[in-house]
Amino acid sequence: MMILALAGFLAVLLLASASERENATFHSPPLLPRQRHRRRILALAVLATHCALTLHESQNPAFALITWIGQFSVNALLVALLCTAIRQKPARLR
Amino acid sequence: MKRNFRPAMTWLHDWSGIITGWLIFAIALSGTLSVFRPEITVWMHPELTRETADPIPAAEAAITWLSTHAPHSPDWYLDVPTPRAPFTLALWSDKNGYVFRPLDPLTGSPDALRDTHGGEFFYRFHFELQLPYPWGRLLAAIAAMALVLTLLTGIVAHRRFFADFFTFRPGKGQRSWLDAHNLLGVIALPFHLMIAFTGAVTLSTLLLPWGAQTLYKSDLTTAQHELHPAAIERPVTGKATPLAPIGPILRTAEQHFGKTGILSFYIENPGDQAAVITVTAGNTDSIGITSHVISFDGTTGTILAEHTEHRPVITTFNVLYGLHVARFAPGITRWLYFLSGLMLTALTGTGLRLWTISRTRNTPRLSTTLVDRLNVGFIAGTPTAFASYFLANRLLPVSLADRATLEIRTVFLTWAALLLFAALRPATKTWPELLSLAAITCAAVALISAPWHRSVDATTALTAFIFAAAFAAAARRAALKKRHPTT
Repeated sequence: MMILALAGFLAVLLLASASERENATFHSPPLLPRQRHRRRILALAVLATHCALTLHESQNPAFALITWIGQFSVNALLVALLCTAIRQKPARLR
Repeated sequence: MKRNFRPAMTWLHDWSGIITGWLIFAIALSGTLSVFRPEITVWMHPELTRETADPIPAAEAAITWLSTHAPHSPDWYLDVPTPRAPFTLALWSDKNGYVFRPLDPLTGSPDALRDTHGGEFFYRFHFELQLPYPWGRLLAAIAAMALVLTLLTGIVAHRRFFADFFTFRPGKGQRSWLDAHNLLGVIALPFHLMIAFTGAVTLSTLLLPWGAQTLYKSDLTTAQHELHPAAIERPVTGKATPLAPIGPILRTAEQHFGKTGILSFYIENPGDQAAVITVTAGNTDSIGITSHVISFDGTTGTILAEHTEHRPVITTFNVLYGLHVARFAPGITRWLYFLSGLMLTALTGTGLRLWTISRTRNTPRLSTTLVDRLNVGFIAGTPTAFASYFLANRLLPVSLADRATLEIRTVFLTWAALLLFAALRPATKTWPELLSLAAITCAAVALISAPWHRSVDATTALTAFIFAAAFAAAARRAALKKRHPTT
């Protein structure tokens, strides 16, 4: 359960690191568009696998899907705050 | 046309947002709190020390008490105890109108429990706004439709939907508010759209009453019967006849319902030969609400009618309604509903703030100044007013007459006072003041939850403490902004 939740967070983090603006937060120099594209596809594949596993693990897929959507929102908020915190950090500490 | 489409949608987004924003803010916050309606009711009854209650003995005790103390009520409505709400919730009427009280699961009496509406206040306020029927519901329905419109136009207005998906840049004034607004809107967009749409569907009979009016004219009985085929209505005979024992009736219903168990039951014409007991199944294993209902003869206990809902249109409505109220939701899903609801509330708050920031940079008009000031009253005042409900619950004397009404009055008096205070002073001064007050009120809720023996007290205290910390941080930032307006 915890591993699955962590995998969901990491998938969203991967998606953020592939985004146009946030990839510069994680990479210096920023990734090339082709690299970002590849990473985005990987992130979406991990997210889709995470969703499929969540549905598979659950006794009620409808409940699990609603929960997965909610978890994605919370993970995205946490990742956005994490990106903000990293960007706010002085460059020498990065 | 194409060139004008986005500006037109942005204009519509801004104006539909500002016209209904305050209403949506209050509706979203109260809806978010009502996700934990039973838990709030338990918190507001510190006398309830039992964590579990057996539904059938509790229902038997409740019926015994109601038979003695409310024999003339034309009907009794009872929600049976659940693991989340270990008490019987009863509604009956006396000479002053409807009475709504939790009943002790052991004695069936409300006397040992303080008079409060508990979480029911937030639930009712969410769609009735404490206004008489149909005005509150109509306003809530319009607000739900406006929210759907605002969300859809917001999607069009947001230029960099995917590029800014995870972006929040604090300390940059209007840019930061826009980032926060976009972030909160985009990451929980499926929830926002679902909750707005299902909210509008829930109140659809008020928005679109003409279909039912054309079909049934004024024949409400036929409409009700077709909607609820297992609900039996029988006129009072005037012949006093005792009720059949409720325990065996509920056990029979439980066998028919299977693992979903009983959610509630109501007794029409109690103590009369025409008494009817209608039992509704729980919905812990499906998203949709109220799918299985059985009516029993109240004096003999024989089954009069049974109905399991399979009609596609009603089932679709039940699923949409169920998605909105989330009664099906297990613990983690409920918390995700709560967090997403908070995001919707914050989305509305940031939108309201953005509207005024973009219009007060030069010399603002009087109307803009007033909106700017009232924004403080609503955004910081509503959480304070709602927190005052919790404080009133613990601070008002337990034996006070009409106590539940006084608790609710506290909310509106606090709210009105804060709105007036905000309207009379510059927003730059009231932001830190009212945010600090919100922090203090939430911290007080955390403290009065002591001694935190019950899990519900500890969880409420922790949640209130997190709110207090967030409001304190916001107040500090607003105070810094007041001292250094350029930061």
